[in-house]
This record gives sequence, structure tokens and C-alpha cells, in this order.
Amino acid sequence: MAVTIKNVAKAANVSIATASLILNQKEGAIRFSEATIQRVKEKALELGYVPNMSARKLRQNENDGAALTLAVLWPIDTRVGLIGRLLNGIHQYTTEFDTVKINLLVRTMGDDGVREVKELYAANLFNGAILANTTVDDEAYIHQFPPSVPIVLFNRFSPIYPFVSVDNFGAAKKVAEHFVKNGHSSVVVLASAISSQALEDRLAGFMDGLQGLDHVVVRCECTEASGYVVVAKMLAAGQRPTGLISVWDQTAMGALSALNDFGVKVPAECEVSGFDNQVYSSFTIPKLSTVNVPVEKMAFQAMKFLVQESMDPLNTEKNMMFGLDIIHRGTTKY
Amino acid sequence: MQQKEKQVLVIGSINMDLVVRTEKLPTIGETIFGKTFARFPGGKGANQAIAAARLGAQVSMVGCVGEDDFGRELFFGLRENHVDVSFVGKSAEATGIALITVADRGSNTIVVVPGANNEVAITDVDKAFAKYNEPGVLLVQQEIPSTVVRYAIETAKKNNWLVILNPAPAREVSDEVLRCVDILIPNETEASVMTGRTVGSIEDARLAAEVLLAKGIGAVIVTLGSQGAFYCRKGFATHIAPIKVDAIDSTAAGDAFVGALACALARGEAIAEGLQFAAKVAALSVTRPGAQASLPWRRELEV
Repeated sequence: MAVTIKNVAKAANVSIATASLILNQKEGAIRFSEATIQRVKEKALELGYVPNMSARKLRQNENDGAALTLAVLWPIDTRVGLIGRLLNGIHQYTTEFDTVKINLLVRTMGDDGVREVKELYAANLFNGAILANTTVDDEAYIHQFPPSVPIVLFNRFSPIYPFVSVDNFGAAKKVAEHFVKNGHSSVVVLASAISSQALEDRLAGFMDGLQGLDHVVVRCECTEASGYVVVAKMLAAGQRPTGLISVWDQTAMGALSALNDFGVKVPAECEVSGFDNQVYSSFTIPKLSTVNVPVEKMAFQAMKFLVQESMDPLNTEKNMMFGLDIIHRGTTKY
Repeated sequence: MQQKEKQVLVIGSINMDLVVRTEKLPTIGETIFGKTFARFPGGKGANQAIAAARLGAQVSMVGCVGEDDFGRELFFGLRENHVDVSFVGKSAEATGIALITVADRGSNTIVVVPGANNEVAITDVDKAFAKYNEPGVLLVQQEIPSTVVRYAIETAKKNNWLVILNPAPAREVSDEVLRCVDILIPNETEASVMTGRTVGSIEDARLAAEVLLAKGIGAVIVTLGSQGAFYCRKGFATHIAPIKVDAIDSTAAGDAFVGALACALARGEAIAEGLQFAAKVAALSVTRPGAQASLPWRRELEV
């Protein structure tokens, strides 16, 4: 059974009010002796008392009016690096939309994805959520069991939920066509081993654009290390790809590092292209060519949809597509 | 996704406000000298129509004025403010007026003679709806006969219009009518009358809004003057914080709020942004004197 403030008060031999003032760090606690404060805190630790945050939140809301609590659900994997750009876009929206006080909550997800986020169904923690980097399994789950709070999908498509997305397929196809145009003889495509609609669309776009060109697809983890290992192994075995395209900047960066280590000149002997325009991609040697995904703008719009949905379910404008720009830097010939 | 801008149809009152300023209010049988006299175009219907039109909405008004000087002045006043007046009728009854006496201490007495406003008829409503093929936003108040208000709301609902009711002045509204209302915007007094409970605080507004929502209204916005507003729809409620300004004259602030919200929704904005826009417009209107004179133009909000 959960340890309550009553248990702590009894153990420390003080009144419930005293224990509450001390444990909640209220101003009134100043009137108690150091010894009493120490005793209450020690007993709380000993018994394993955990303050009830949602009760605190309720009390706060009584004072400053109901705030809208919105969540970002984000799986913990290598893509976590993108969350900075996402938060930036969300912040821009909450600064602009000052009509309702918005509290932002970031909920990380493990291997079970959205299944573990019971609050989507209990509706007791947040008023709505942005679902980012969902797996195919996550998507099947939420379409089978609609959450009780409004949701907006980030970089995904849905026939029923609002979403912000980009034409991953189209941009990837254009990247591949660049490689075809430059007359490559053998191209390595680094695809993802994780379940992602967006990354699969990019792969499909590459395939569509590369038609007829000799290529090999390697699925690997979306990390710098696995990009490095995959390419280093190929080079060590004497293979010499002339082009390397990745669904993801991180693997492209690992690959670039391997090419450098094996003395392959980029872009003269091998062209490399990533995807996403992560911040570090413009600081590699040579600078990585990539596709810019306007994460900040998408996050701004996702937040806008979420606020609209939370405040009015009859709202009709449900989704928005953003353009992708191919950025040629130092790793491609153009 | 570019949405076509919707029509705003206002069905309501058109009045001339006759304002006398005095040192004190006269007692029964007493004759006193007033200090100043002025007349101002008013009526909640006309005010809200002009508020929305000045903000750039396509606004059409259904109402009625008398064939007299006030009527002509008000008719042309609406037209000058880009309100379509093709459905503003002319009646043998005198134009509606409000006789307002304001004493130095701010206490006042008001006598309203609806006159031509009572001549707004169901046939006028039919004529207006017949003109539009696409559903728009209907905005009604209660300064015209309740039968017409009811008919307008039910007709609009049948034709998939968005229905906004500003239940002013307060009177009982049947639940069948309320069920057809998408957005109800009462002030504290109107919310009190409609729910039978006092509404002064934000918490009172929350309770009143919940009672009203339970009647089947889509969303309820209780305006709270300097305390902002309270917004509530099924499963969600929030206080809308007031925008702090140096208030000079709160006359027509409610009309500015309602007109601006209708304008934003007609433009295809969601309620969230609509409320933000309406709060801004209302705040701006209280920083200057007058009723219609204080209603801002769209260019004043584009900074």
C-alpha cells in the first residue's frame, strides 16, 4: 500500500498538518525546529513516502485556473536527438498562443511504445498528446483502440487523426535521381532496422528513383556506429561503392567517417547523402549533403492542431504537409 | 488547405442610443437640467455586425428600422461599415431607441423602446437564408422577438450553419432551442438568469457553463468582464485570462468579443485561435470611448 503523509506524521510523532507543511516545503514550515524538520524528512525517506504529484497539480489549478496540459510522446532510441528541434517549435507556438496557459509534458516510451502510455486512455494526466516516431505497431494499436484524449501524429499519416507530415517518398526519390544522373556504378542504400513509416517511405523513394541502377540495401541500426561498421566492413572486403544514400543522417555520418578512414575521397570517389538535416550534419568533413525536414515548423503546427483539437473536437482542418528541401553540401557533386 | 471564407449572418436589433448626462437622476415628478445630450448608433445586433465587418468578415444583417431620420441614419451607418443591408427592412413603427440617463456618479437608467425591432419577421429570416447556398455563421441576440430568434436558430441548424447565440438581454431560452446552439456566449448576468445561480467568480462561471453545456449546447463561453472569460465544451474547460489594458470604457466590449469570434470562425479559424483573437479585439475596444466608435478595424490588429 502507498505510504501517505499520515503514515509519515505518525512515525515522526507530529500532526498531519505539520508533516504536510514540511514535506510540501510550504512557507509555514519555517516555524518548526530544525530537529523536527529533520525527523519528518528522515521518516519520509525511511518509509518511502512519495508525494502525490497529480494531487499537487489539482491544487495548483484551483489557484491559477485550469491549464491545458499537453504531452509529447517520444520513444527512447537514437532519434532522441531530434527532440531539441521539436521543443523549439513547440515553444514558438506556446509563446504566440497566450490565451490558455499550457503545460508541456514529455513522456518517453520504451520498447512497448504507446501501449505503455496508459494515460492516453485514462485521460488523467494530460489533455492531449503529440505522438512522434511511432512504430507500425503503435499505429495499428491507436487505430484499433482510439485514445480518450486528442492526439496529433508527427511525421506520419492517418485517415482519422490529425497529423503533420512531409513527402518523404518524393524527396527520397529526388535524391536517388541525383545519383542516377551522376552515373554511379554501385550505390549502397542504408535503410533502417526500426519500424518507422517515414523511414520506410524514404527507402521506397530511393528504390523508385534508383531503378535500373546497381544498388544494395543494408538495414542497420540508426546510429553513427552501425553506419560506420557496415561501410567499414564493405571497404575492408574490397568493395568500392561510388554512392551512398541513407534514410537518416546519423548512419550517413558514420559511413562518412569510415570512408575517410579508408582513404576514399568524398565526393570525388563516393557521393554521400543523408536525411533530416540534423544540426551536426553541417559540421562534418566534408559537410554532409542531406534533406532538410522542417521539424520546428512541423512541431509548431502539431502543437497548434493539438490545442485546437483539445479545445474543440468539431474543428475540421486536420492535417498539413510540409515541403522538403534537398541540401547539397560537400558530400555530393552538383 | 485554403478554406473559403464563410458568410456571417447577424439577425438582431438596430437602435439609436439617446444619452443624457446629468448631475443626478431625476426623482418621480421632478424636472432637472441635463448637462449634455448625444446620440449613438447601437443595438446589439448592429454592434456585433459592425464589429465583424470592420474585422474583414462578409456580414449581412437582418433587422428592421423605422421610416424616420434615425432609421435612415442607422441604415447608412451599417452600410458605411461594409455591412450588407439588403435584408434590413423598413417599418411604419418608429426606429428602436434606448433612452439612457447617466448621472455623474455613473448610475444610470435605461428605457428601451424596441419599436421597429419587433417587426423583424420569420419571412425576413427565410429570405436571408434563401440567398446563401453554402452554410455560414449565424449570430443572434435577444433584442428581437423570441419567435424570430428561435426560428432563425432552428433554420440555421437545419442547413448546417454554425449557430452562435449571445443571449442578451437575459431571458429564459427553451432547451430545444439551446440544443441547436453551437456556441453560447452569455455574460455573468445572462449566465445567472439562465442557470438560476449567481455568477460572479471564475468558479461560478465554470459551474454555470457546465449546467448550460448539459443542455446540449456545443460550447459555452461565459464572458467575465475584467476577469476574462470561461470556455467550456464537453470534456474540456479553461479560464481565458484577460489581457491587461488601461480600460476607459467597457461599452460594447461584449459585442466586440462576439463579433470578433464570429469573424474568426467564418475565416475558418479554430475556436482556440478565435478566442485569442476575440480577447484581443475586446481588450482594444475598452481602451477607447463609445460603443460602435470603439470597435477596431482589421488594420489596427495587424502589427
